[in-house]
Amino acid sequence: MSMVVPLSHVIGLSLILFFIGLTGIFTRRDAITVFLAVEILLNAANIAFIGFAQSLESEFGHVAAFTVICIAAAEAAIGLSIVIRLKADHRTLKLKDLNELRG
Amino acid sequence: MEPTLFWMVVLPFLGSMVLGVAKLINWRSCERFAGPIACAFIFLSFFCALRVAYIHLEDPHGPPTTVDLGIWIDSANMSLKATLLLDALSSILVLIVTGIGFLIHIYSLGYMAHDEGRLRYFSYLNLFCGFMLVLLTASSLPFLFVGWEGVGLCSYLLIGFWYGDRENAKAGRKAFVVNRIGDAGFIMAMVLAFRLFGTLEFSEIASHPALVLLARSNVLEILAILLFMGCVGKSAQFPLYIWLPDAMAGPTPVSALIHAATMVTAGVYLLARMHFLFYLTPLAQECVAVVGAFTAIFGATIAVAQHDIKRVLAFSTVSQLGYMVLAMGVGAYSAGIFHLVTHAYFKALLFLAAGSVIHALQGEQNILKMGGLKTYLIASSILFLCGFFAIIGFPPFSGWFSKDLILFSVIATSPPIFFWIGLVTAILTTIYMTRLFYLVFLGIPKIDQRKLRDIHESPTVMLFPMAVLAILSILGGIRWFSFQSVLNEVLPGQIAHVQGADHGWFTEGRVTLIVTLTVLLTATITLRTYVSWTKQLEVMRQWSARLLGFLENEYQFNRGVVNGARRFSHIAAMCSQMMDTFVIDKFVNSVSKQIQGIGKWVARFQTGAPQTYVMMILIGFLVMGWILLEGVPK
Repeated sequence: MSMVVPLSHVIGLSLILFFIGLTGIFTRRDAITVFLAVEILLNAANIAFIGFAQSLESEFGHVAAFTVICIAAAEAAIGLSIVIRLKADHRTLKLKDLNELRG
Repeated sequence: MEPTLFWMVVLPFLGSMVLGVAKLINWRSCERFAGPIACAFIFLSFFCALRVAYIHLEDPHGPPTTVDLGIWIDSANMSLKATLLLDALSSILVLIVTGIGFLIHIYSLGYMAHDEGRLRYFSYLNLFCGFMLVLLTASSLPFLFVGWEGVGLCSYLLIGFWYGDRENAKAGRKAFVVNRIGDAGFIMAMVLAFRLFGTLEFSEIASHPALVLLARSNVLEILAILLFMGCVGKSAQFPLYIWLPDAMAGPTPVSALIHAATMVTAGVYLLARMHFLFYLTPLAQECVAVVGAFTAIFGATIAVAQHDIKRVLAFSTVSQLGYMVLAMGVGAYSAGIFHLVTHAYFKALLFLAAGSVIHALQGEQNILKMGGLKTYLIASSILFLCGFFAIIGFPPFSGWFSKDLILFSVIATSPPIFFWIGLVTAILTTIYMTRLFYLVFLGIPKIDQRKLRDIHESPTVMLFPMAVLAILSILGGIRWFSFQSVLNEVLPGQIAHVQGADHGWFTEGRVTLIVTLTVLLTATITLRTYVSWTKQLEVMRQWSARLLGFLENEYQFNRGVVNGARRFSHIAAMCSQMMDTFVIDKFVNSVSKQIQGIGKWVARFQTGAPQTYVMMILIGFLVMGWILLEGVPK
């Protein structure tokens, strides 16, 4: 009989991770760290999925978690290539210098 | 369904189309046959007209011949059939149009023999005849309007036929624009008639119960005056006559056919067609009489001082049209149409003879440079003389019958002032025609010798139609030719009850005697003045030089109108420019400025920093989550 982690703890962890991620997005100044923060957000969501899947005894949560992992992998590939292109083209990864879309 | 009537109308259109297509594909070898083809089509049309009109002239009160061309306009509360209809009145005019049209086509064979644009010319001429026949055989106002506008178009095309000369093109444009004013009245009249009667068929309006109920009401008077406005434009009445003298820029056969014999009488025909309406609107009818009488004397005075042979005849046409309209105005419809018929004969003849003179002199139109042509152009001068006698009303030429009939109807039905105006017009007509005849054919030749040597009588192909018209001018007043009995049957002529009634001193015989004697006396005095009293004539000319100049310039009326129109269009242009810059542009600019402002405000959210976008997404999610949990905020 293994110990079951209570749902509230799992959701608590997920929330903490989520806020860490948000804080990272809003406070960091360079693209790579913001990108890492987005990864943290994704993992927060994943933990929430798993927690709910366990407590509701539904396979759907697990499926969703795997989907998120796949998407995160693809997103990492695209995101990192964007970062590389940004560095190559603009010689900087500072977000405040990358504001060409400013209206 | 009467195929003869159908083909009568369609044949000229077919001819026009054939020639038009030949022109379009630039078929050079067809050019030689352009005239004969056009003549053939119009002759066939004339033949059809004879066949179908014969029935109605035999039996004026018989049912009209109709051809149903199907439904033209079909909408919610209006269904308009396109129907060709021929009754006794239109039979007469159809014969005139196709008959004189055919003669003038033949004349054109000679007159336009060396012209480059023969295909175009004969195509237009056929088209004109087609539209004129539509005008005459239309059974409803809008269908008549189709022909009305069609002949206007052909008139425009033929006035500006030699469009290489800017003046000709301008004259065509003027005719078109001035006619629009009258047409505006016509269109308003149609709208009003539809509001009043709910139908635009002549026969249905004539028998509509509301018509008699509305008699003498203002709205019916307005309807009649609006219709008359169309007539004023088309029939060159004062003040819209200004286009007709300029229309002489076209080839002379065109002036004879369109601007003397047929198209300009369309307005008179319209008045006769709608006579049941004018019968019930005394005020409008009085208006018609006043305009007609004024135009008659106005045109005649101007014609006295003109130097251009065609302009003299043009103002004479204006004046004679005034006579016809005057006859319509006093209710003598049959007399008016009778004069229309005789005028078509003799004025076409005069124009063709004038064309023959112009042709012989290679385009010279100034009568002061002519003179003594009777020895060179014997046939033309004799033919011109026939027309001359007819127009001044020399017994027993056709004009004598019709003019006397009009003047008698006028004195019998209306205040004597109209009669005196008519009589003075007759005197003036005699003066300017005698002057014209003397200056062109009598006296000493004033043409330079070189031109005199080349002078040659017109070919037979031109003389033949003139001869036919001359015979018609001589015999046109006699009962058998004049259709007068038919006219008296179908139109209220006033003559029937006038003859029995007591008119005091002015009996028909006395009126005829007065008019004839006056005319003869005037002709003799004028001729005498020119032949033997040359010194006195010179003195008189110097005395009245300013008056003559004033008359020559049409009382400055034409110039005034043209200048006024120019100024008006300047003002209108200025107004529309102001409207453009200060209203439309301003509105458009302010709208775009507002939108720009909104855009600028919204653009502030596009900071370019990813964090802002993330924040917005987050806020969006929170709001959506809130809504999901709490429901839509009330």
